[in-house]
Amino acid sequence: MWNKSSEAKPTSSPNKEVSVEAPKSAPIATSSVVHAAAPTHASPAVDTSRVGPGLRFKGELSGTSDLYIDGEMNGNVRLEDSLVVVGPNGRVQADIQAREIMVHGSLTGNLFATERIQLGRESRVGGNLASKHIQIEDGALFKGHVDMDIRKTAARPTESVAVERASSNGDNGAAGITTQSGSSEPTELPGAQAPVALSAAPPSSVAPATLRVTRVAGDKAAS
Amino acid sequence: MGWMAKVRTADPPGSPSMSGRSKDFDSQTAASPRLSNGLKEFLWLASDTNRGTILDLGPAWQATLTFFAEKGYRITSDDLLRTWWAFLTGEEERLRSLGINAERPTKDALAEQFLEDSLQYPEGSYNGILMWDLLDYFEPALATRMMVRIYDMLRPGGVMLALFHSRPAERFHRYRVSDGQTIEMVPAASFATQVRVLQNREIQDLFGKFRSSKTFVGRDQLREVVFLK
Repeated sequence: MWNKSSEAKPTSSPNKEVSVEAPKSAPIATSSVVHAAAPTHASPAVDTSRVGPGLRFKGELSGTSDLYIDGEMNGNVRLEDSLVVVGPNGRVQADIQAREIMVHGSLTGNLFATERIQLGRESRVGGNLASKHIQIEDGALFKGHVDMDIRKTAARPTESVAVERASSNGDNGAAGITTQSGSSEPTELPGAQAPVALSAAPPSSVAPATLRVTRVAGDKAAS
Repeated sequence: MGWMAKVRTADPPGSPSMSGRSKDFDSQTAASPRLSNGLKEFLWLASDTNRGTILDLGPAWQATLTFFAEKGYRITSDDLLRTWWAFLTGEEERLRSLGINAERPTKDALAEQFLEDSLQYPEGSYNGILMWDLLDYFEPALATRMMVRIYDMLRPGGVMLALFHSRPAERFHRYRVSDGQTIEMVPAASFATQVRVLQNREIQDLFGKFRSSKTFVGRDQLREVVFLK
């Protein structure tokens, strides 16, 4: 059911956008953005982009979609108006800027959220937190600074991490997305409603500087 | 039996050393509040230092974080006891993998090795440090070295709150701040073993470089000591 990624139209944008496409056989969200209220780690929202278990991502993510990371990620995430959730299987080494950040897995990096940061009871976080509202559940393991006066920290940009250019050893090209063998198919989570999967752009000889994640509801409707 | 053989961990074998902390706390047993004159003194002295930065060497608690954030402090959380026992567990596993003839490092060497990666904060970076009862759980070799490091981390005029058991603790607790004069003792799974009961003279020796100290002795045999740099 996930083999539709080959139908994703390569974009001609110089930014080499990576399209995010919902599986055809699954219920499809309309083109209007559906913002679920704070999806938990067990049920990412319909319009949430996913790095699922078994996926490894290296590089910088930016855009407007919410993001659910339950695989491995290394780099930078800049989704200023979005919700970023690190699931229980997530292993993340990245600085994250978002509207709201929830961590239930393992994360090393600095977190900056304009609204809220939540560390779940099973989370393991090493880094600095900056947000107006920070919630640490009993049981969370956290080591780092906490700053709840984001007037000071808002001006502190996250240092950009250069995208690791894909090597020729089978990594999936430009975007720096690598898929571990036999695990490219996203795992359905209980209660998940048609999770939107990341599909990598075709290999390109020119590696992009950043990877932008956008939803392509129009493409889905057309297909 | 060697020193490191005392290492106990709440984690199942093979699991990451930091995992499973949520099992550490007994949700069935309520945290017990404790009126703390030491905390009152700590806050009073810390208020002289322009609402700066606090280092909490216990686990990260929402209550503690909120309390200090609302007072305008910036807080750093570093669960040093857990890090230390995770370190010892790792060392024990490493030695086991090397075989029975592997040379065991001395306590001094272990303490040095641990501090190479821990408590790496700049000098004078904190206005206040919450030590809780960690020193009861650290070997003298580590405690002595750690206090040198911690003294340097405090700004002049900085203040530290430490707790000491007057007799072996009946139960392992972690601590959090609930308001300006109350700390909560949270029963926890005992992943660490109390090493010793420090006598007053030993405490004075450990904190000899500090300008002054004030001790509050509770009926529960817990001494609260506030040190001023």
